[in-house]
Amino acid sequence: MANALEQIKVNSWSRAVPMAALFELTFVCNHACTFCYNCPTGQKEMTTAEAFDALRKMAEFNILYLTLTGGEPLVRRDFFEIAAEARRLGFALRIYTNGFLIDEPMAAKIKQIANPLEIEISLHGARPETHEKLTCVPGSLQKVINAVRNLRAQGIKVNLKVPVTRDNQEEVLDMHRLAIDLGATIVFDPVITPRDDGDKDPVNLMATDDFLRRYWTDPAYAGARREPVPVPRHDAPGEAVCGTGRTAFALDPYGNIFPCVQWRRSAGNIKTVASLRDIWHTSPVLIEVRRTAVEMADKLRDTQQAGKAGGFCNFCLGVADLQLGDPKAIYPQIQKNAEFRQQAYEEWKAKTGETLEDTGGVLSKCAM
Amino acid sequence: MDLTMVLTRNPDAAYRIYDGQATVVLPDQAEVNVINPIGSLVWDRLDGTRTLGDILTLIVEEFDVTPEQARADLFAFVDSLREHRMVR
Repeated sequence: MANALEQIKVNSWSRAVPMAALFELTFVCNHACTFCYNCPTGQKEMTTAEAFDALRKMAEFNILYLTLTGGEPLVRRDFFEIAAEARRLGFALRIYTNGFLIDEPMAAKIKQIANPLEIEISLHGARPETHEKLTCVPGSLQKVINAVRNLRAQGIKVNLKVPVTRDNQEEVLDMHRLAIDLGATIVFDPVITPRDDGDKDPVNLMATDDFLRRYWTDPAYAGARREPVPVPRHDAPGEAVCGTGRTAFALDPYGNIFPCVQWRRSAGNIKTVASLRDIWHTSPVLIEVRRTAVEMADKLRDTQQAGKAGGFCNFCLGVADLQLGDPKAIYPQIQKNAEFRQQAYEEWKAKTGETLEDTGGVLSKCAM
Repeated sequence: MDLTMVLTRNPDAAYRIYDGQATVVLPDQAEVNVINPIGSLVWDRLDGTRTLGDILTLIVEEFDVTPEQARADLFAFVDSLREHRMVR
């Protein structure tokens, strides 16, 4: 069964058949995170009926995995109506939330109505003062902890997501332990991105070089990293650097369809297209991002062959475009991370005498 | 198990058909199950209205297989689905 699934995923990549979508139900949020990338425009967000129609179109387009997010999705009064409709339409659901509203009754309702594969909750520190400095909401860390406990009590899988900043970098190991204690998984993302309107202020919160070096090379952090040993990219010629506009797409509360959550180039509006099939293979935006993703993989492979760190980039075309105005430009956050990832790999190689080919390791690509 | 049984897919199961294969996800299971094209035909019809006998008839009509072999394969497949709590 595993091989069949791998083949389906390979086909999804090569034929640009999306299996996943991310649906931002609202940009309204009960937090005020200092580095949030959302930029509400003041347009009218989708009504319940419009959200149902969007779900129907995504189901007809054969999307299996659907992430309901925001803003904070649970602040929508019709959240459970939308979740119920999504479940009726056969999606495998994930919910990405700040967890603030998930008390015991809410956790039970989530289990009963949405029954998601997983809930993802943002975590910004292991100590209240750290988490709350970033969320700007007193008591918000305890709410996250309560939410995780309430969801775990319902048997719901919880994954904590941590954007690593210079404010919380020294609490990474404590956050990792906290997740284990709570029965949750945890993912750290050491790359902070600009806001969707291009405002680069959040990037100033990026973790320090000293921390990034420790994060990638110090064995103490091996358990906290997704890759115990960072490995270089394995893109074959003609392969894309990521799944943007290919394996998944994102939908904002106004109905705009984007190649991914990070690359906000609208390919159309789901409220006005009769079917996603009408635009998926013909949209100039989607055709261009797919081509760019392939060109970028070539570029990274070339820099790797030249002995540079390019092959260690978990590259995001959307961030590059937003931050530097060029989707193929190497942005500083990714350059720093790539250098330390390469250093960690070289040290591991020297110590063990093994190589990437020995382990069969591959870099997992961003497919949202 | 007998041919008068009427089974239905686990309502918690999310699935889509890709390349003729049902890709099935259950929230409380870590693994994703991919069902081969003949199995997917069966899976798609386990909708709580058809008996296993109805589904067996369909298989025999659609594929070059004897009724005896089809019945044995159908029962083995349904057993596997029940074991994975994919049908009720």
